[in-house]
Formats: sequence, structure tokens, C-alpha cells
Amino acid sequence: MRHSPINYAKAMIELEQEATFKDQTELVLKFKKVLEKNNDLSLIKEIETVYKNLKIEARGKVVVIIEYFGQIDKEKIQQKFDTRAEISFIEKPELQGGIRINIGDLRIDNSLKQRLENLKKIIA
Amino acid sequence: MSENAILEQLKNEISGLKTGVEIENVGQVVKIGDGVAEIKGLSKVMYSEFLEFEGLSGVFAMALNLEEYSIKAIVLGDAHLIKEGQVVKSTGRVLSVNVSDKLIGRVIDPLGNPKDDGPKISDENSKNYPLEKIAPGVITRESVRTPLHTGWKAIDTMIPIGRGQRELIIGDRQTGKTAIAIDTIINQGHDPKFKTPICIYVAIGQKESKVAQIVEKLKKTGAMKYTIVVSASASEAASLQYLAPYAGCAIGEYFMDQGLDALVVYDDLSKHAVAYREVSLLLRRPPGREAYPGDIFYLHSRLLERASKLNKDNGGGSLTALPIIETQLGDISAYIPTNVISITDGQIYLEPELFYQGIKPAVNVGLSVSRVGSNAQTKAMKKVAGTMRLELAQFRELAAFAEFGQDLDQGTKQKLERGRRLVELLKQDELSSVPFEEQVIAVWTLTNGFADKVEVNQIKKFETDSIKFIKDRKPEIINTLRDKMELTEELITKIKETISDFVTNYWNNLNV
Repeated sequence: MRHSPINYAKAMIELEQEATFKDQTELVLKFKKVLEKNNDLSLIKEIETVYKNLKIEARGKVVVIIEYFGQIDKEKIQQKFDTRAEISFIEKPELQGGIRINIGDLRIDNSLKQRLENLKKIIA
Repeated sequence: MSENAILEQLKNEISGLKTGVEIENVGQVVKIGDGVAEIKGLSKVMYSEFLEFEGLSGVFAMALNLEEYSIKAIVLGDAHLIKEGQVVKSTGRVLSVNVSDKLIGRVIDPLGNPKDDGPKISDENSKNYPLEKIAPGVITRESVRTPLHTGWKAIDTMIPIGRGQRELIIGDRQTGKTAIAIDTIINQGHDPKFKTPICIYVAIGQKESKVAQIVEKLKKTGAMKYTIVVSASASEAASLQYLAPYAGCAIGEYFMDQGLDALVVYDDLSKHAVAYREVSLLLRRPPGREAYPGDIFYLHSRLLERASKLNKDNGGGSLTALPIIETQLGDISAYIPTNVISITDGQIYLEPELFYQGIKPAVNVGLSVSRVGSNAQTKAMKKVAGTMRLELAQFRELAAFAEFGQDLDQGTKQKLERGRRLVELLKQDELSSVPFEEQVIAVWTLTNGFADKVEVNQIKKFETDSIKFIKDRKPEIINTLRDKMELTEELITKIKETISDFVTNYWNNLNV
């Protein structure tokens, strides 16, 4: 790895802002060639994720992923968050019930799965 | 416990359980291989923090490389179960081992899990001891002055070890390094005058069969009653081998903090250095000399520095360390041996040539030293063994000179004869540790010329018979020596009389 995914993503965003290239296609093609040259093509997925997150952050937003299982009132939950939160809901049956909120590497877990696992730890 | 009581306890536990919302710092595995996981996220992780893998019990990791955008952690357990994208949770605690008195007599892995067929180790009074800890400072320590008798005459007389000392056992393979350490552990149970230390034997990168043999030996001799075996065998991950001595040290510190004495044997630190090199290279840390990482000295110095003798205000406990280093073709000037020699308070150097000559323990007196010196000897031992080292060194010089076949004067001849007998006296087999009071009498008898007329091959018998004679006829000599640990003029007269009696009326008649 010659450069970290975050640095690639930052460079891409700055080039976009500076409008060095006529169109997005040219930028993407050249970016791909640089990745090939640096032997970093395997990082492309990771760069994409970081790029998307950085774009959201640039807009002054925060990515919030809410995993849930069962009946939840999405609107009510959305109201609880700041307007800066860019919320996406994912249904996850393995949670067995409740919700789990992910903000970056912070996780607020109020799922049934977590509670049962804690119980298992204590009983074992 | 009755069924009702179990149910009641379970009901209480369930009703008292706090299962609220959990706020966690999480990350995701982006790369896994060779027991090293690269993790994204975990922005609040600490160095050496214990990490859990979601949904995987029995597999943990330790955060080691905290980099700008990711962390690298070594996996403790089966790394094959981890997949890319696996969620990792920080625990907020650094790697530690659960220690309690219940560990005594058990064989455990570096994480404190039992490796023997005994029950699960659980104790309400157990404490978590961090594997990495700063060594006690100057203010809390006192000088080493209580002996730790090994039961080996060659060591207790010339290279005394004190409680709180770090004495290196160094030598080539198959020269008896482990035997010295194991017999020292066994001898701790036969030293009634001093508190029996809790012994911890740490096996690093050893064959499981060898560890099993050692445990068997310790069980047979009753030494497992005060011993804990920490094992990270050759079949286990390098990460566990790297942690094993720190776990052993943490267990020792638990007993030291209670004001007790502890003895920890690291068998061996050469394999430990190799395991750490493997871990470091996998973590992509820059290699240095012999591909060892730059902090290889610190790896051993911070471990051995934790051996100490605490002063009375801090409980008065002690932690003695006996690290073992295996040399290649007797090269003690190699990288790891010189590092550990410079850290420890002395070394016992075992020479293959002496071993093959039948001199066991094969201690090279010239290269072996104890920097604590006679401070860690009883007054009696100090008195009889004070000149022994010099006499033996002179004998070796003269013996080399005498090989040229020159005519020797009477004085030199006598020195040579005395030296031969001294070497014979110091020979000792495994599992034949000698109590210190018997060592004192044996050495006194020889250095005072009572055995000068005894054939060299009869020295062993002379020693055994004379001690038996004293035990039968004058047991008070042994008892006084054991209790007072001093060789008074009065006692010397008594020993002199008894030994003269033995030589004239028993030994001479026996050998007519």
C-alpha cells in the first residue's frame, strides 16, 4: 500500500473541488491509472466508502446507520437526531429485536441479541 | 448445592442483571493473515488493549500497532475463524490475567485458562493482574539478602542466588539448564528454615511432551503443591509464546504483593525472542540486527526488571527470576545472550565439554557469577565457601599446567589432589538436592583436609557416609546449623571431633 485509502479519497475530493479536469470521467480514469501504477487497485472498495463518508462530512452531515429488527417508528427515530444526521435504516434479523445505532466507530446497542449475549456471559 | 439453592441463585442473578443499552467502540477486520488482524475503526483503542470479536468466543486479540488509519492486532486463539468484515469490539482493559491462590498446582495458558484436566479456575477473590506493568521503583525495594537455596552444591556455594535476584542460566542445548531450574523448584519444598516460595515455571515454545514430563516430575516430587506451570508450547501461536513470560511474571507479582516469595523460571527467553521477532515481522515493524526488532532489549529488560525484593513497608515480598537462554555452540557473545547477561544479576554458564566429561551440573565457575554475591548466603555458607571459588580456579589453572608433565612440588600436588576431590564433591545428579546444612558440613570436611586420603572415586560415598554418621551420632550439629545458620567455633569443634571419629573409627576400618 503506497498511500492510505483516506489520502486517496481526500486527493480525489480536492481535485474535484479545484476542477482540474473537464469532466468526472477523465478524473476517474486517471485516478484508476494511478491506483494501478501504485499497486493499490485492491483498495478501491475501501476508497469508495471513505470517499462517500468524506463527501457527507463535507456537507456538514454525519453518517448514521440504524440496524433494527421488528416494528420501529422510523419517523420518530429520525426526529430524535440532529438535522446533520444522514440516516439509513437496515433490517437485520440476527438482532432478534431492538435497534443498534452505528455512528462511525461508535455503536449504541440496544438489541435483544446483545442482551442475550451478556446474559450468556454471566451464566457461563 | 441443592437444586433449589441453584435455582434461587440463578433467579437472583437474572433479576439483578443489568442489560441496558451498551455503548461500544467498534471496528472491522479489513485484513487477516498469519495471526495478525488489520482493523479499521476502534479510534479509542489503547496500546495492548484486549479486543473481542463479535460472535466468536475464545478468540481474542491484542492491539499492538496503533497507526493513523488502522490498527494491527495479534490474534490470541484460532485466527482461522476470523473473516474479513468481522466486527471487533474494544473492551477498555489492557491484557491481564486472572490470578488467585487457586492457580497453584495448575497448568495454564498465558491467558489463565486451564490446560490440565482439572476444573475451571474460578475464585471470587481473584484479581486481574496486567501482563505489562512498570517494575517497582527504587523507594519500594530493598537489597537482596535472603538466600534461595537451589540444592545444587556448585551453585549454593559459589554462585549464591538471593530472593529477588535475576540469575540467568545459560548454555548450549542438552547441558542441563532446565534440570537446574526444576531441581531448584523441587528444593524449595525441602528448605524448612525459609518460607517456601510460590514457583512459576513458564514454558515458552517447548514441546508439549517435555512440559508433560516436567509436570509429572513436579507432581511426583510433591512440588506441584506450590508450583504453577504457564505453558505456550511450540504448537501455539507466536503471540501466545510472546505473552507467556509476562503472564508468569504477573502471577508472581500477585504473590509478591501479598508479602510472599515467588520464584519464576522463564524457559527459555531465546525462544521468546524468536516468537517476538515473528510477531514483529508480521506487524511489519522494521527489522534490525539478526532481524530482531529494535525493542528486543526492552522486551527482556522490562520483564526481568519486575523481579524485586520489596521492603517491609511494601509487604516485604519478593520475586526471583531464573531466565534461561540457549546458546549456539557455546557462543555467549551472540545478540540475545549478551542482552540478557547485561540485564541480569549474574549467570550460571553450563559448558558442554564439562557435561560430556561427566561433571554435572556442568557449571563453568570462571564464567559464572552472582553479582549479589555472598550477601545472599548464610553466615555458615559464607565461612566455608568463601575461598572455594578461588581454589577451584587455581586447580583448573594448575591442572592445565600439569598436563605438560613437569615435576611438581609437594604444595602444587596437594592443591591438585584437593581440587580433584572438590570437583568430585560438586558433582550432583538430578533430583538429589542437598540441604544447605549438609552442604556446609561436606564442604568444610573437604576444605579442611579430612578427605585428602580418600580416593577420588570414593568421595561421593565419603560424603554420604559422613553426613549419615553425623545424623545418627550427633544430630544436634545438623539441627543447630539449620536453626542458627552460623558456624560458631563451638560448632566447628563438634564437627571436627565427629568427622575425626568418623574417619578413624568408621571410614578407615571400612576401607582396610
